[in-house]
Amino acid sequence: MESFEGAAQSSLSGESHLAVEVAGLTKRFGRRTVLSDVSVAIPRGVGFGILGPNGAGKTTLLRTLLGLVRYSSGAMRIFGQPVPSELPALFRRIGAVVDEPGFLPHITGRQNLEMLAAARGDGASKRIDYALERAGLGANSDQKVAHYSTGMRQRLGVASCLIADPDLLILDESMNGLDPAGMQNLRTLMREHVASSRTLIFCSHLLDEVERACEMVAILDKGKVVFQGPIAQIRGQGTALVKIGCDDERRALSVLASVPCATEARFDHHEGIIVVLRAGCDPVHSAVEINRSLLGAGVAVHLIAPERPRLEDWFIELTRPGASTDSSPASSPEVRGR
Amino acid sequence: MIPPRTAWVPDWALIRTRFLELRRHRPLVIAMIGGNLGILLIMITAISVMHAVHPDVAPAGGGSRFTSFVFLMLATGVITAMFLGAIVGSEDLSSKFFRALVTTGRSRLALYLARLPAGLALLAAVIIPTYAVAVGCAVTLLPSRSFEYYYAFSSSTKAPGIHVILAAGGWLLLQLIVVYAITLAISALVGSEAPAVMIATLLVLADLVLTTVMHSHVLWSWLRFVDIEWILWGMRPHFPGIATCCGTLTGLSFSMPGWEQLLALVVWLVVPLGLGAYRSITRDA
Ligand SMILES: Nc1ncnc2c1ncn2[C@@H]1O[C@H](COP(=O)(O)OP(=O)(O)OP(=O)(O)O)[C@@H](O)[C@H]1O
Ligand SMILES: [Mg+2]
Repeated sequence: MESFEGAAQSSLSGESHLAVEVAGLTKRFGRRTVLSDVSVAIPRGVGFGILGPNGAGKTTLLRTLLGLVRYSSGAMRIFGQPVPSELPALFRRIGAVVDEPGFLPHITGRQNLEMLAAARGDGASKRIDYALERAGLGANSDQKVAHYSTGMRQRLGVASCLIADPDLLILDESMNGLDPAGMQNLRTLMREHVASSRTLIFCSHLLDEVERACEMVAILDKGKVVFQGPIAQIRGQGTALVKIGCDDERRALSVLASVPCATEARFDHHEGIIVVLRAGCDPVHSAVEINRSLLGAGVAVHLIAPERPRLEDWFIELTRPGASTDSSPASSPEVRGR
Repeated sequence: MIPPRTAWVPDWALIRTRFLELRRHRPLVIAMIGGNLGILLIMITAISVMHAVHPDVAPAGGGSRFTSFVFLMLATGVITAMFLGAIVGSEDLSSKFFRALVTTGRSRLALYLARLPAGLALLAAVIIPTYAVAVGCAVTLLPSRSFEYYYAFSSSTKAPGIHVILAAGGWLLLQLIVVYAITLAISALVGSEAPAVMIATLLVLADLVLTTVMHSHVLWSWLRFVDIEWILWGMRPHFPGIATCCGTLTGLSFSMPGWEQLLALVVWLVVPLGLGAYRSITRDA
């Protein structure tokens, strides 16, 4: 029997440094298990990315955490308070957009916020102007939502969070459809939010943006957590690359075969020479060393680009069909989903 | 003082913003005004033009005209109340605004209960002025005494008394409130507007069948508790210009004591609204 309430809270550590703690959460829609024994710990004051392929269960995790759907088993806390029983009070401190934000189309963006502010109370209505301005919607706030573009709806979604002045900001795909200025604005907003020691949960498929906004991530795949930990840890354990553009690729490849930090070098028609570095080699220092060797052998280098391990590569590796989570490069127990 | 957010009683600010939001449903408001005041005005104009062209047609005033205005308003009002109830019951769900509202932390019951009076206020804002126009015509455009031959009843040519005006208005509003509330509840239950209107229409039709069945044999007389239309019909005041009573086709006739009517009415309001509330509280957002 599913419930909004009542799951055992004993499996939670209840540690005070955690903003969100989810333990053993299972959620079924009918017979289909969408979240399976999910455990996530999100420290206070960090940007935390939740990643996963389409249908992995990211939005369902957020909906369950916010008491929007019932769950089958597990336990959750936000700021140390049991969820969902304490949610009514906790929502004072939470601003959340889950999935595409929904608004009433026949009234303006501002009027939608006025309704939400009336539901919130707590002086939320005083923050409407600020929220609209901060979300970059000032000029369009008095237009009917029916006439909004996708990006304008997203901005209104962000504004609806800001009227709460939240300690925990939850943004699910909020960058979708934003123009470059809008993305930059949201990026700044997320950074400032975390810089003021507040917590951000950011779900997105834009992994570069997640890398910029978050220190930690959890990766969900088919309703299970397949990785959880600091992004720096991924960077430290994944493979770094150096990309090279030069006048004589054949010669360069033979030189690279004897460079100690390179494990493999190959030529790609689009990208030039790609050098895969040995684990633990710093890409910048390696690039300097490679450049020196190539110049010494008389190869004229016009491009040398060190690349740190990217979240995207790591993500694709972890979530590719048939990927065994134990064979991934960083399968140490402390970074596995618990 | 700000009420505690878990409180299930909606506060004034919540109801007020809800009313303002409903008022801004431009097509709805235009349809409500057009479908009630507009149609009444067309009827009044048509009668007045006919009266001007053929002086033997009675003008748009007096008891009989008043009665026909009320029944016209009942027909248009029921349709209005149905559509309004359907929209108020599920517009948050269809637009996904419900989710945003729930994440404010306000109790789901308060969110549900705030919609009821807000929609009711809009209904009243359309129906009461329309009724005022009907009453205004009925008491001012009185037929002369020469029209007494035109009608079967002496009350037909006289202005309706204040008692009749209040009782008929109250009865009309009561019917519309019941239709509005039941459709709202159905809409909240099914989570979608069009099916709610359909189900409410089928209920009205089912009541017609019930009325026929319960008058067919005394064994079926218990159906009177289920037949909300018949109950409301039994509560009507005496209208001027029409016969006081009407037998039934089968000759079987029964009435309901006042307390039974009231009880049945309360049950008909509380049960659907309660189910709608339960669904609002337990449904996925
Ligand atoms: N109400 C529902 N009934 C049945 N299945 C559902 C329901 N909501 C979600 N699901 C299923 O749960 C799974 C997870 O959905 P969810 O929306 O959480 O994915 P997601 O990780 O957010 O995906 P995306 O990246 O596309 O947003 C999907 O397979 C989806 O079909
Ligand atoms: Mg999603």
